[in-house]
Parts: sequence; structure tokens; C-alpha cells
Amino acid sequence: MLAIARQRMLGQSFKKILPAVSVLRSYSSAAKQVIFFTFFILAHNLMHTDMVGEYQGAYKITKGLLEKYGPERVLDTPITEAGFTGIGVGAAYYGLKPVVEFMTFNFSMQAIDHIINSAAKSNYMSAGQISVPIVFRGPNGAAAGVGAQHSQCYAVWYASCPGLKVLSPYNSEDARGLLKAAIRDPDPVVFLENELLYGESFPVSDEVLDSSFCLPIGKAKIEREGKDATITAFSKMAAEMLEKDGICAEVINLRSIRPLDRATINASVRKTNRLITVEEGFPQHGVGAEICASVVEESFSYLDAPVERIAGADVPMPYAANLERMAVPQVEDIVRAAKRACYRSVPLAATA
Amino acid sequence: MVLGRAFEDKCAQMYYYRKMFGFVHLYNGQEAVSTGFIKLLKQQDSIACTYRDHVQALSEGIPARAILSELLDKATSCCRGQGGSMHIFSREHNMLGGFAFIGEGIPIGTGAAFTSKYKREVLKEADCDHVTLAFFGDGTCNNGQFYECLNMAALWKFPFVFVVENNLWAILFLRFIRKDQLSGCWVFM
Repeated sequence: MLAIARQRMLGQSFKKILPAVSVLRSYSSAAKQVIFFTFFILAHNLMHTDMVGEYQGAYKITKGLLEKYGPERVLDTPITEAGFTGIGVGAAYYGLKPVVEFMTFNFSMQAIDHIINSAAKSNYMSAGQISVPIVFRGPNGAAAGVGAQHSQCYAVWYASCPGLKVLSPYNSEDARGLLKAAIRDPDPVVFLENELLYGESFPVSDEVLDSSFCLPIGKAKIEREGKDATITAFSKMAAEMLEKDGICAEVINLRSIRPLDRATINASVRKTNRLITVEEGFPQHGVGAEICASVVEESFSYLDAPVERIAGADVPMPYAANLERMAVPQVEDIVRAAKRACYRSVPLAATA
Repeated sequence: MVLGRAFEDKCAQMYYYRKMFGFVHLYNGQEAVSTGFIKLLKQQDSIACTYRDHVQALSEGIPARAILSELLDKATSCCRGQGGSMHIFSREHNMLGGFAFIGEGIPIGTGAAFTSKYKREVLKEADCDHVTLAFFGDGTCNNGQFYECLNMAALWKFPFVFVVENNLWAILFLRFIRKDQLSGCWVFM
């Protein structure tokens, strides 16, 4: 316990030496700022930082930290996901606060036994004796031309497991606030970033730049208010949504996949009476399926149209650029779904 | 050791009387291994093991009543009936768990050993000399996580002991022993 108190004190001292920041913060540097406060990081392949810096934004997040805090706190590991994830969980059992980085969440499948069985379930199995304050983070979902084995979205895999929290930021404000909340949380958190968003910049307020800025876990954000339909999305899909015009849709950025903010979603559906769920992952048993079930259970009489689910295609991600574009929801697909929900102009069966 | 044998015999009896059900893995014949090692540990040292964890738990000092209550689904047990035979945890006794999958406890134990080294070298707690032991069977020596952790423990010189309990069985198969000698670490068979 004393060691943990001391660790917290160390974190406090680091806050004072943060450099001044500009108003426009990129998604990746917002995440990096937060990781200044972590106690150590396990990641493999930091040696390849220069080569993959432009291609895999994940490494830009940790590169400066290695130089600043040294190899004792930012650990470059052998390529042994199961091993180093287990080591991170064991260290969390014993009081440290590790942040484990996966090159992408596709690699987390090598370590999923430790994420689920050792991290998520331990607090319950030990009747509260063992707490696991660990964060698993990395890029999730489709990138650009990386093929089937590097493009899957794992939001649903982890969100179905009790004992885990699953977060997915959209912009810099989300990245900063949610990552800090994840690291402070005493439970294991899966933090699903998006590789294609690492290089994007988003305007942020002064409040976001404050060193103690933190977002609550389990609260969605209404990115845009509307009255015709409710659209739920997370991560990169939220970006797609905000480009769309025409129907005055209320766009909800989920932020937290588990726990899901059912209250905000249902309140919105009761206002607009129509729901379109958008996600990048496979359609069966997806995030949209859970949201649809939640709305049917709690707000069925408010629905004026069947719930529309937009998801990635039910195929492993193809490699060719044109096929990849067709396998991921595009703005046109979402517009079509919104029109179907609002006007019911085309029967659902005809669009299958 | 005697307590361990008596305890396991009682578990067998309870199982046949249908007071206990599900998975129960008995440690008869292996008592000397864990008892011998754990007797040398200090209070702050920790252990991680597999599903065959009753006697390790007893040796660590968890009361026999607490463990047997766990196996008999009592809320007053060490884990309130939520863990079961394979998942005996105790924060107080630094028992970091029994784990269901072979090899699963090894990285966890390696992480605890990492923490010991981290506290000593990064957090500058000079008196921190915690050691961690992982108990597992000879069948686990076929598992990838075993080798991954051997590599990392040797690489970073963790205060960690890999204890292989060679009972000549890997789950349901008789296995031949493959004795490994890796530079930088001792492997007890």
C-alpha cells in the first residue's frame, strides 16, 4: 500500500514538468501526454520505432517516453504477447499500474487468455482480494491495406466479458480523458484506439489541456443534437458520421463500449424514435446488436421504425483497396440506412 | 505435509459423497515439493500455481477451514465460493492464484517477480527482496508461455523460481521428461 502511495506521489511530480501545449492536439500526442503519468509500459518492437513511426502511429505515442523515462519504465519486450501480457497482469496483481501496448489488437489474441482469465476474472474469483489496475491499449479495427489478419475489430470480443472495461476514443479529447480514466481505474481496461486517427488533429479546449482532465467511464457523448434519428458510433465511425448531412440526426459517440451508456442511448431514441447503429466490426453479435436489444428492452414503444444496423461486411477483410472500401461502412451506406429508417422508402429485404 | 495429505484425502472422500463437484485436482504424492519450497519463503514472497493448488495454499498459511469451505461453496470461505478448487487466491498470504490453464500462472508469477525488481531498482526500495515461485507440472514444459517466461526472466534477471513438479503425467498422457538447461537460469525438475 505504501508503495502505491509513493507511486502516486511520483505521478504528481511529473505533472509539474509538463511543457506548455498548443491548442490543436493530435490524437496520438493527447494519448502520449497521459502516458507520462503511467508507471511503466510494456510494448514489443520499440526497436522498430523509426521504421514504423509513420505507418504505425502507436509507436509515436511511446517513443518520446522511452527517451524521457528510460528502459526501466518503458520496456521493450521480446515478441511474446502471452508472456509479456501475463507479466503485466502479474505486476498489476502486486500493486503496479502497467500499460501494455499491442502492436494492434489482432496480436492481443495471442494474449487473450491473460486479458480475460487472469485480468478480467481475478477480482471476482478472489472475492475482491486481487485488484488488477492494468490498461491494454493499441490500435483496433481496419487500417489501410493490411489484410484480413491485421484488420479485425475486437470491441465486441472484450465487451462481452464481465470484469473488463472497454473504451474507444474518437478524438483527442476522448483520447486524453479516457486514457487517464483508464489508467486511474482499479480494474482492467481495454483501450481500443484507431490507427487511421493517430495523425489527425482536433481542436481542444483549455479544459482538455489541463493536466487533471479526465472523462468518466461509461458515459457516451452526444456529438451533435438532432431530432430525426439517433445514430450511435464509436472510434473512426464517429468521424464518418459527422460528415453526413441531410437528415437531422443525433450523433452519439459511445466512448465506452463496456459499460454501455444505455441511459443516454435510450433517452435519445425516445426523443427521435429511430435508431441506426454504426460500427466497423463484423455484423453478427456486434455492438449494434447489443444496442438494438437494449433499446427494444427499454424503449420499444418509442420506436417508429425497425433499428438499422450498419457494420462491416461479413467477410475477412480483403486486401485490394477497392474491396477494402466496400468491406467497411462508408458515408453513403449510413445515409441510405438513415433514409430507410426515416422514410421506409425501400423495403429492408431489397437491400440485403 | 501430513496436513496436506489428510486434506486431500478428505477432499476425495467429500467428492465421492457428492458434497463436492466440478473439478478437484488432488496433490497426493507431491506434498514434499511445495511444502519444502514454501517453508523457505518469507511472508512477502509470493507464489502462483496451477489448478492443483490446495496444498500450496495450506503451506502458505491459508487456514484449512477456509479452503475446504471454498470447495464446499460456503460464503465464509477464502473466496466466498466464487473461485472454487482451481482458483484459491489470498492477498494476505501472497498466493496469486491457482490458474486453470497450464502455463497461465507462470507469466503472472514472472510479473510479480518483475514488480520486486522494479520496486528495488526504480522505486528505490532497497530492502525489497521478494521472491516469487511458480509451481507447474512437467506437461507445462511443452507450453509456449513457459519458454517465453524463461527467456524474459533470464533476460531481465528476475528473482523468480520455476518449480517443475514432475509427476510423469501431462493431463491424461504419460510424458517423457525433457530436461532443459538454459544459460542464466536454474530449472528445478
